[in-house]
Amino acid sequence: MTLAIDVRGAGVQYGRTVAVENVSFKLEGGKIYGLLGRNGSGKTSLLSLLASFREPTKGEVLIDGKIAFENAEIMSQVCFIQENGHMMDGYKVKDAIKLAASCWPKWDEQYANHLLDLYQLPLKKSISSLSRGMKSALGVTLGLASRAPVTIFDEAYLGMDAPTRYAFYDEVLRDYMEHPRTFILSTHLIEEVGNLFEEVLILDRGRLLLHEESDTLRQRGVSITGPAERVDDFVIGLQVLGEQRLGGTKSVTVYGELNQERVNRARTDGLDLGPVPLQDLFVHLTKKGGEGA
Amino acid sequence: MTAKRKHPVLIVSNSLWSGYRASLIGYWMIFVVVFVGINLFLPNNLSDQMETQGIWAGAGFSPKVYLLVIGILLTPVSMTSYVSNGITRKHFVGGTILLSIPMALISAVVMTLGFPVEQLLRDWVGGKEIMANPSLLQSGVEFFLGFLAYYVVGWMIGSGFYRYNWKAGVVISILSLLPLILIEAVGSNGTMELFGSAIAWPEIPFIVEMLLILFIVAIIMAINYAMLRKAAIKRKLI
Repeated sequence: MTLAIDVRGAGVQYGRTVAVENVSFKLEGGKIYGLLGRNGSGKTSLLSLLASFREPTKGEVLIDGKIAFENAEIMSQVCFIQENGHMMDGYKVKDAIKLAASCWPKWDEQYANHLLDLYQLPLKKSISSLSRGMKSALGVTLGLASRAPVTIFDEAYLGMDAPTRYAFYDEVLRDYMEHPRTFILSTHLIEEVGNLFEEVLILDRGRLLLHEESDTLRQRGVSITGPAERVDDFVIGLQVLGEQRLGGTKSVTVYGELNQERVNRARTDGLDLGPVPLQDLFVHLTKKGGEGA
Repeated sequence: MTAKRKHPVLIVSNSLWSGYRASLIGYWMIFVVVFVGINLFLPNNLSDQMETQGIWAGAGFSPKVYLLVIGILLTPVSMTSYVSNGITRKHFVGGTILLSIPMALISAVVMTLGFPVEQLLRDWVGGKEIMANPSLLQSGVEFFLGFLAYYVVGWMIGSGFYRYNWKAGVVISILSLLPLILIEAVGSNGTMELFGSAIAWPEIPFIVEMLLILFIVAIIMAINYAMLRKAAIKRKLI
């Protein structure tokens, strides 16, 4: 089951601070979306709107065509996980599982037990006594086993060690293939998780900088490497995101697709064209001072 | 794979009840043990007032404070967990109101039964006869509404701290004294002790008294809902 998400001119303001400003986008659902942004870019505030954690100061958020805030039908289908899933610290792990099982209509107990084993979560331990990585593992367990049609992980895997994180990425992909639904992953670990994204949204200073299919986005970035003078000549008229120089060799990252003529010219000039990792594109696009965008 | 989901209000009330019942039972066990202990071991050291009125008659304030504290904790400790599990604020409020019934009812039943039990203990130990002999039904209703009132006032204080900043929370805490004073005044039937001085209060029929308290309770519940229905979810308050 997939639910479309339609955010129309949404804004979030904390006192005088604007966290999210006039953000609009549509997600058709049934995909894995990546929400990227620097610290303080408004990612968590935006996700809080989707999960009805707060009402937009401006604009509206529709899920499945209905206003999401305080809509019981919608809220029971949107699971928003930050760290331990907002469970009370006094709870034991088994209490958290019991509460989640009673709340989520599509809760999968068997899958929850599988994840509890996978992450070796002690059922009788209180949440407050868990390590940060274990708390994250609990959050991830709750999010995945909820089988909510819209499942959102906001840096939920921070504190996990690398093997546990990779186990989580595998689980997301496997579960998505077996039970298609919408996943939204907000992360700073772009290199690790970037390959999962089908679409990417980049927020910068509260505004939506970009919303594209991740393949299209990757194609928009090209690195051109070769003798410095030829590279400088080649990139005239292109949007340069960044450059590195080592001796007489220069590597420039440009944003925008190269047409066939340019590709042929690069070959003639002896320049190497290569892909740009999603993380590099993100870094360049969100550079402070706004030159990225 | 998945069981049929209960109504969200029942999910909240059941879950809160399973969390708080141990505390309620523990509280009353300690309370009753202390009471029995006093009656069994200190019958000769009681003051004249305690001898004639009984200990139990003056013991009703402690459970009120206990329920006030439980009420204060409800929103800051629990609301985030429920909303992040897909429960609306409205259903959380509904579940919290539903929880108030067993919490206040059990406390009222124990308090009411305490009077005949105290008389039995006195008869058994051999103390003076207790002069205060209230109607059990009337006492039960009075205790129930009184406990309910303290619970919802505590809930309002906690909700105030959750919904607004701490300064507004302090203001709401101070303002919450007003309904408590009003409830105590209505329930006192004649004169009320306030800050060491007796304040005269017109005598009103019992049923009117209880309806007035119920009305105050309903208003406080409505204020709670108004405060929480659009409250932003906070990561952790306690």
